[in-house]
Amino acid sequence: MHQLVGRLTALDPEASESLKIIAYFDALVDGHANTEVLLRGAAVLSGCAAGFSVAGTQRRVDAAGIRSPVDTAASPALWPQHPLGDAGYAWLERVGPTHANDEMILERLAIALSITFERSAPVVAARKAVETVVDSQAPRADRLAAATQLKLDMTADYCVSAIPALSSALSSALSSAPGGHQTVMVTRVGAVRAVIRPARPGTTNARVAETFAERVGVGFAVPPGELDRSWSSALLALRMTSDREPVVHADDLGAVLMLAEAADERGYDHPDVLALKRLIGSPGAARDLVEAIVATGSARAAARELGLHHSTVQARVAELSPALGFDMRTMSGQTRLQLALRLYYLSTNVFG
Amino acid sequence: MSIAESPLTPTTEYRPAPPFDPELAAVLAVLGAQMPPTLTAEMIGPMRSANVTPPIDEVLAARTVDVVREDRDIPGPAGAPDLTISIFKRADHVAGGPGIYHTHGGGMIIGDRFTGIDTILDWVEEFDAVAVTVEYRLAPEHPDPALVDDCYAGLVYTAEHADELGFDASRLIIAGASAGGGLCAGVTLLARDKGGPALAGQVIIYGMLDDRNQTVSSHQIDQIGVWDRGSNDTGWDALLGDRRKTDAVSIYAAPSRATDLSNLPPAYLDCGSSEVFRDEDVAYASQIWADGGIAELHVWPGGFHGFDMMAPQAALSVAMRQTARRGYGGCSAPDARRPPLLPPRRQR
Repeated sequence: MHQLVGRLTALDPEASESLKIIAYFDALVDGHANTEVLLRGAAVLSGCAAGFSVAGTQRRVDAAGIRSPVDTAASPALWPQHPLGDAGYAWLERVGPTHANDEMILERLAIALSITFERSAPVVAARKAVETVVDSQAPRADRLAAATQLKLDMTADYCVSAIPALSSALSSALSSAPGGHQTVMVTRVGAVRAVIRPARPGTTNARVAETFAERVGVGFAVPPGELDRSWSSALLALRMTSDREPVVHADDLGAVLMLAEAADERGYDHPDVLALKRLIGSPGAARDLVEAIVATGSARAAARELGLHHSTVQARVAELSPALGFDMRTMSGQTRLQLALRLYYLSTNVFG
Repeated sequence: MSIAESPLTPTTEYRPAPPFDPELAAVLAVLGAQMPPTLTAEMIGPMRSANVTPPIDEVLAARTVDVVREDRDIPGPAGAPDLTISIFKRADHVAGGPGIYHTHGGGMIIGDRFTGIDTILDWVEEFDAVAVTVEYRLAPEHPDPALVDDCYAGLVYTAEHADELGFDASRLIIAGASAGGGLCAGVTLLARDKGGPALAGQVIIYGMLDDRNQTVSSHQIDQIGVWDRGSNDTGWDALLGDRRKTDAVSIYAAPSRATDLSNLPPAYLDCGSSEVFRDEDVAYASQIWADGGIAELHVWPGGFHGFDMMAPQAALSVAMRQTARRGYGGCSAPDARRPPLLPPRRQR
């Protein structure tokens, strides 16, 4: 009942009321209040008109909180002000000496306005749309609406690239590149940037990103409505990259991708992966050897690549096989090692 | 399936209340911090002494239009003490316009005849109405029916003195907010059942109508917002004592108990979606319609109890006032069969 708690009126001109001011603006920001409501808060608390001017936009409410035109004849230089954004400012139309709370009201107003501007900026909206379009949990209708918002061509194919977000070279490259449909997603393996690009070659941010990134997983080429599938495949591909193979295309993985999906759904590692973790869990000669054998397909070729004598490699392989639980020198052993190594990367790669 | 899981078992779980409007939530963050959400019986005394209703002379001085006030002592109900009323009219009042009889809010336990008077003074200015507000006795010192009887006695006096007070007796409406809304509805039922005085309308602003506290909204607003479930218990317990929630409660004390709401003057009802009284107010309007009567109902989304008075500048409060002005002022009454509750001020 209102008579229990009174009415929100201008604060005491003499007494500092910081907590009230902070609580008021925090609640407005929590509620996603618009700029007019924020200004009205400043006007009601201060008891005088309030306004802001930033990037060519001016807005003002009078002392009663009603939106009204900015008085261009007035002299804002005399009013208390607070900087806002790039060369903008918020003001209170205080006539005479400032009140105890004016500075705090302006500061909280400016912070709240900045948050509101950032929320409503086009780049933020685009980031949200990218989040939706790759979200397999989102209803298909929402994903299609997001694709439309991103102006994707419904008749063309696109693919999503998954790139670790914490890559300083990449970040500076992307921030200087124009536009681009991308956002940073929180995944179980860390913060990963999702970048949507046309499946056909073109000049996009994704190209820039792939040039600078240390690791990239490239998803399937799909129509806009199925980009969630492309993102899932890109993320799996990224997780199966290695120093030796920093860019993995989901298209190139063949049935390994299905295997990776199945392995990912289990909460535990296959015994072959556990064995690899024991053998090559830390960088060193054993890891180099296993990766070289899988990459080249033979101990002889691996020896050449590693600059070792063939017999040395043969001897190490003979040592490793019992620890693995199978003979990596046979054809089936080769295949088994290849799959185990992919799943080992899947299980151990973490980004940021 | 166990009995506990049976779909026939009535649920005691309620979903959370609709969220408060963001602008109102901010006001609550500041003002609500000054008070616990629940008013208990022990707090009635301190609440009365910490009266936050501003002095009436200050209220009048702050208004842009010159409004004059006159206090009178009038006879109370039979065997009861005299009542004080205050009469408000524009200093440049022209006789023959509408009259407003006001029953103030305060949960039946606190407040005085100037509680919530700003809303009434708006109409005095806007429609050149004569407003009469009554100082009724409060519970728990004076249990039901003292309150509604006092209010009825004041209405009878007001209607009988229409000419002298300077308004048209056929254009007298009754208005009240919160407990005052409940008393407004109760007095309107009394006037119907006693055969007078005639009323041109009843304005029930988030009215406190139902002692049973059993609606969904009465459960949703618990320890949150303004005038929560526990506060409502405190108010009704004070008014009704042991009779509360029994068949001994009259429809004049708790108008929601009335099963026949026919033959009432047109009703105008406001409430918030996030307050205890939401469901009883909506149900009251529905019953009026079911009984073939006229009611205009506005449920303000995200509004807590008394939001328009606590946050008069908020967008939702402005909308509520503007809508009410249209509703009372006749812009929404294109047809003579439904005259406006408050006709526009006459040109002078």
